[in-house]
Amino acid sequence: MRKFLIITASFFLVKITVAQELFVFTEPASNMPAKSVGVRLMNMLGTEGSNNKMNYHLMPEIMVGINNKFMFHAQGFLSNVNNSFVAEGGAIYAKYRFISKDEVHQHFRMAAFGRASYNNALLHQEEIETMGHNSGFEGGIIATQLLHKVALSSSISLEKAVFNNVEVKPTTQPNSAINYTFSVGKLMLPKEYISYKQTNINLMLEFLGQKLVGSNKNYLDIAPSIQFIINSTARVDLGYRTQILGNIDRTSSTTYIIKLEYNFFDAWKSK
Amino acid sequence: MKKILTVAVIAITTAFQSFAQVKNIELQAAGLTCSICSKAVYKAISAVPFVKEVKANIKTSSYTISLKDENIFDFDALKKAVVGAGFSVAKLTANISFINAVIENDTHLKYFGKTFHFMNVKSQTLNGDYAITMLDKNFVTNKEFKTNSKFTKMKCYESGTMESCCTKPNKIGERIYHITLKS
Repeated sequence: MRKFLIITASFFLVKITVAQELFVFTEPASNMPAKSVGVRLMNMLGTEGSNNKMNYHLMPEIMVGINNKFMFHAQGFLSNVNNSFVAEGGAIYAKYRFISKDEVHQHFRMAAFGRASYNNALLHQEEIETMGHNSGFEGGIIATQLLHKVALSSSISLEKAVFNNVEVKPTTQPNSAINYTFSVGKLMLPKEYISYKQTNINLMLEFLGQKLVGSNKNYLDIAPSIQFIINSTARVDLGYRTQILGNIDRTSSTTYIIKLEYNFFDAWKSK
Repeated sequence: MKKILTVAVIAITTAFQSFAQVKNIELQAAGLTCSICSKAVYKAISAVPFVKEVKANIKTSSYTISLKDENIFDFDALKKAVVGAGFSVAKLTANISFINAVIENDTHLKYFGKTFHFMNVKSQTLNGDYAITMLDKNFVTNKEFKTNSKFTKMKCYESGTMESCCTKPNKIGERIYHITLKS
């Protein structure tokens, strides 16, 4: 009952975020506006392959736009993977936008990002995931192109796992991986913008791949999603992610996510 | 009595000549489509201290800005707000009331405490409301900036500030708004 209450509360904690462009499973090269604060709540469900157990991950996140080029996130990881719903760790993430070319209704941006994660959960998989599974680091670059109602984005990163508190990553499996993503999103509704109160609906299709370094183990996932932007400040994302190729050992090769976001513009005043 | 009136009229006229009357400012932002992005720009412009009200046209990424005081404005502060929101200014046009402003092409004009550099205009005297468009770097696209460079040989267009070739040394570094009359 307690677990149910926590999960329910998390779904209804709707004071959540909005970043700018708008992908569900990946981050774009665009940043949040300067002096804005976003709150995000990611709920992820996945069935554990071997025993059909439903794993629930909750990742609350706060995002701060320091200035127009630099943003910062802090994220917590909670899950029931080890049978009770507990806090397992957290991460900090920073993104720096270093190229920005704008035209009316168009842009091209590039950004560098880095994440440092701590996690004390038991490791169940060969897949390296510093968002909610492994302690470790990730660093990479992102390029995003906006063409009116269509946005394309791609990223490449290196991810390195370290130990998870008591548990040392087995030396028999690689501890680093190359990740690559490709995302496309399209604004479907409204056909014509008139008011900030109109709900926007975006459809996304994303591909996320990983290759373990020094091994032939890899996966490639496809992840369609639908996104609702409400009152131009709140975001609700519904996403499905499943493996289409690969031979890597993973806890869940199919996951469902519900992500809620809310943004506070001009959260603090300039001096 | 007639003398007093004459003095009063002269005083009022002089006072008005030293002020700008900015009726409103039209700003178009670049680099965005989504409504969240548009709202971020809207909020950023609204937070600029001298801005009274902003009306957004989401479809064209344009914002009509009215001022608390028609004499107090700073185009750079508006640009800074848009850039801070993560985007750029594609165009800025201000509707300004001029009184007996004598302008010449590719020449500076000191008017209500600000220096304007008129480019690609005919020499004339401005009386009444005119729409002026900013041509400075980061107020137009890079391509337009390059195209507009042909309208002046002065270095101040490149820097946006007074250069040694423009004027007396003690004015070097003063902000100059490079503008044209909207066609």
